[in-house]
Amino acid sequence: MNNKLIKATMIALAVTTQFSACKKDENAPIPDEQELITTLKIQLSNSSKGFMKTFVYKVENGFGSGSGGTIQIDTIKLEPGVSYDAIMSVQNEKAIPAEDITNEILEKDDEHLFVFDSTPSSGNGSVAVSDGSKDKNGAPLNQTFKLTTGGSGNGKFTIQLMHLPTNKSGTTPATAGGETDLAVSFPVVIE
Amino acid sequence: MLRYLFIISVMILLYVPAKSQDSCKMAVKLSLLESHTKEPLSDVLLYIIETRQNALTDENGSVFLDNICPGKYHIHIHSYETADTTLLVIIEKSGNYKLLVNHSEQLLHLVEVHDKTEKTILQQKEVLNINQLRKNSGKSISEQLKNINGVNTLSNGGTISKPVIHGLHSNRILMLNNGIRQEDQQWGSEHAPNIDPFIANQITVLKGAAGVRYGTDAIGGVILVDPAPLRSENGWGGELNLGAFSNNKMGVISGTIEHRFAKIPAISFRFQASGKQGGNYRIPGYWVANTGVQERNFSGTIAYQKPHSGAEIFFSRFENTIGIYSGSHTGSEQDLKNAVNSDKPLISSGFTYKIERPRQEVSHQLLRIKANLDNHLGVWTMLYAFQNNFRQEYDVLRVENGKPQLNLTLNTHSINFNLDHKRIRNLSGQIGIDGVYQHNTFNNGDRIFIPSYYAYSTAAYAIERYTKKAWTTEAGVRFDYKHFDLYNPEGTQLKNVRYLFDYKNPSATLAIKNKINKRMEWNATLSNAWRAPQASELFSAGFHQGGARIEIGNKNLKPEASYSLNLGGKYQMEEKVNVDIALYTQFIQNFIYLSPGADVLTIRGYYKTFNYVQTNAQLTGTDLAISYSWNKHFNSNAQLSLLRARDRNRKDWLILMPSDRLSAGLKYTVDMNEKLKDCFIGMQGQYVLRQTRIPANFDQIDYPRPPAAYFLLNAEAGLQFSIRRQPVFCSISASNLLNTKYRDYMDIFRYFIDQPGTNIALRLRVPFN
Repeated sequence: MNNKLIKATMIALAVTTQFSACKKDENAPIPDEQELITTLKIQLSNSSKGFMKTFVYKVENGFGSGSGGTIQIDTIKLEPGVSYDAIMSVQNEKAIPAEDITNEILEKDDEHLFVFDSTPSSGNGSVAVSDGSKDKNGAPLNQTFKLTTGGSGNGKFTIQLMHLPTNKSGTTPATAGGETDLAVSFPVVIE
Repeated sequence: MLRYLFIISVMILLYVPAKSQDSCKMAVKLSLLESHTKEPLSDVLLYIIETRQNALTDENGSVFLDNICPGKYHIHIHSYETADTTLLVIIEKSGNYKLLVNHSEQLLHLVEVHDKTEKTILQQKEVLNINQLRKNSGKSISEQLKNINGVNTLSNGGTISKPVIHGLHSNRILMLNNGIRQEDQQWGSEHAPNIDPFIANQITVLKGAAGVRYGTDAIGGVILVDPAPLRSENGWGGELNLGAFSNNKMGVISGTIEHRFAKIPAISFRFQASGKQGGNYRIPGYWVANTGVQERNFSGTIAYQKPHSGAEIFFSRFENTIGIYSGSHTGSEQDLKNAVNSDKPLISSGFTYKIERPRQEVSHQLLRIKANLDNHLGVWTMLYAFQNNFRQEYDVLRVENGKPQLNLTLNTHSINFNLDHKRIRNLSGQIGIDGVYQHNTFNNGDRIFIPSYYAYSTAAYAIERYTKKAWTTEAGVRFDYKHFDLYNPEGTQLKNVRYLFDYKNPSATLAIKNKINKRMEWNATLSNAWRAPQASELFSAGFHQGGARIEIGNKNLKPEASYSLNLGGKYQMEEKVNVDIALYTQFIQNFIYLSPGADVLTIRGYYKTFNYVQTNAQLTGTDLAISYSWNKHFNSNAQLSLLRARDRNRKDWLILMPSDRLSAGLKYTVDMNEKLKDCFIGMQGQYVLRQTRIPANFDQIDYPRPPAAYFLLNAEAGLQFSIRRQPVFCSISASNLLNTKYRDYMDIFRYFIDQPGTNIALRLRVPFN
């Protein structure tokens, strides 16, 4: 009669206590941030002026945290009315050693596109982009390009990397389409 | 020895004149009443010997039998241990037959053993029966549930959807697959329930908090998916279902075979399998890239059934691959704005069955072992289940590596002991205990999603039902204890930090039902339920791909507790008029939601952040359904569903709640001749209003405003015919008949694309016996 109820309760309790007595897993899995990009480096040079400098834009948080992490945003300081050769590299500096992602982008250059924006768009404090590099199909990639400064003044230079753009001849994120992999804004000082 | 003398008299009263005599198509209602007091006897198992049917009397002591031929029937009333009783009923016409029996403590109430669908607690409920399920076969469980008034879906485009009951979804509602709590959809809107809808013979939705019987998380309601009882006649049986859908060129096939041995009649089995394959679906004017779907499922049941004991083993496997529209993954807030501002899909596509990244590959396996025994105390049931849910997500990569970026495993063992005790005068009820062990983990190197954890829970409950004359009262109490052992990767080196959480909570329910007269009844339910915060709400710290935002967990969240009051009224006039009204209000203490926080700089620009916080919420609404039969052929129906969801602390509306909606339909049914039966043609229109009750700060946290109101028209037609005495059922249905271009507020893809266009479905069903 009641024995059965007691028995059933006992079995259930035994089963549950056995569950809680399970060995604790101290080696819980560790996740990894997928295809993390932390840094965009832009090297600007002008051989006739003997100028060569690398500017860094780094936000280390990735998407695993709610805070900014280590941030380094260089100000691009250049002379007015001069053309510079620009080469960009993309890195994951959270990896040890730092991982250079530029080669992956060059391998899949038909699936990537850099687009640029300058504020102001012309005149003092502005920069202009020309002669961007092409992908294997002869369509724009813009990993290397020519940067020409306007007159003296302050501005902002924005670089965005689009993954799988729907229109390779687009010059803004909206016209290029695809998913934004990078969106960085360098302060610019021309003097 | 017979301790009680029972069944002193049997009286059969026929008080409803039958409709035309259509041999073997009679609808019969048997009402079991106590001979002296005329009180209905609920939860008593009747076995009709001639048809080999089992039926359990409902709260009104009634059972309904369809397709009965005229003749003599022996009705066996099952009782405890000692001799059972058999009554003779002569059925000549459709109608209501009263069976009068002397009250006896020996009558066996509730026998889950015999595979009738699980007894539900006294609460507002709505049922999708096998005919309704067949009409929509090939659709997902969530899409099927949309046919219940007050139930909507939360979707990710046309391929992923999950049910919403009275505004609540995901981890606030419970799904029970064959009596087992489905463990697979706790995580978010992009995780649909992994249940093969072809398993279901009946789906019941309990609206409102139902924590006492079904446990934690049943805040908004419970969905019970029940398979058909195993075969009760000797020999072989089966069914073949075929479906074809025009919109995504999807084909669906499902087959069932079952057998009951003639020589060893205690053993019967069933094997069932289904599969589907669909390609990209179509919205008005465009194909949607990468939205194909594949599904392969099977299940098997074997049961040993004696009158007073039995055992059953059930195994099922569900497996699917779902493509996700790639335009729905945005890298930045700017990407999202670009998608929102475009009136056509940003990713253009043609038709293909091929599924690329991003995609999900999910499998769900369930092993369920049930044993039961009845003695003079009542019916004892032991239910053990093991579930394995494995989910792989393949993201879009810079360089293809052939690997998934997320491998999530959720293993759950659960055990339940339940005693449905013998009726003690007018009191029937059940007591039981539950134990659950759960392990959630992922693979090393996966994308961050939720931390790995172990969860242990135990619970004890008791529910008693008191029935006297036209009144039924039910009261229940439960106590739950839940322990979380969680490992969260933290810091720049992502070291696992261990967290322990303990949650304990009582819950209770009180329900009353009163039958005023033959046509009218009302009910009231006061109940509560609670749920512990999920690992994602406690610890999520990541980028939300669909919404281009960062969601941040909160370790200090307290459990949510819900208190709901449901009032219901029913008016039924003998197959002519049917009115069903439900009013509900639900107070949810510590309601967990996302509140906007400071913007955070990332390598992809500034992101909005959202923090998990708590408030007190109040959800109030009504569901109204009316149906009216004009004559033998024409039937019309109308439904209305309203919801007001308030944040009581901020005195504001809650975000992402379904808007008000109404629908109406007309159906014409006719039997042409002996060979062409059950011919029907019907039309259903639905009007969904724009959600205007949105938080005051909506424009800062979401964009754009909820989409405009829309009207949809659906149509269906079908018939039954015979080929060499083999019945064949055939139907055609069309959803979004007018190819209306619209978006829905409860669809996450509303930012990116329209809802699916016209979908015409052809269905064929061939039963074998």
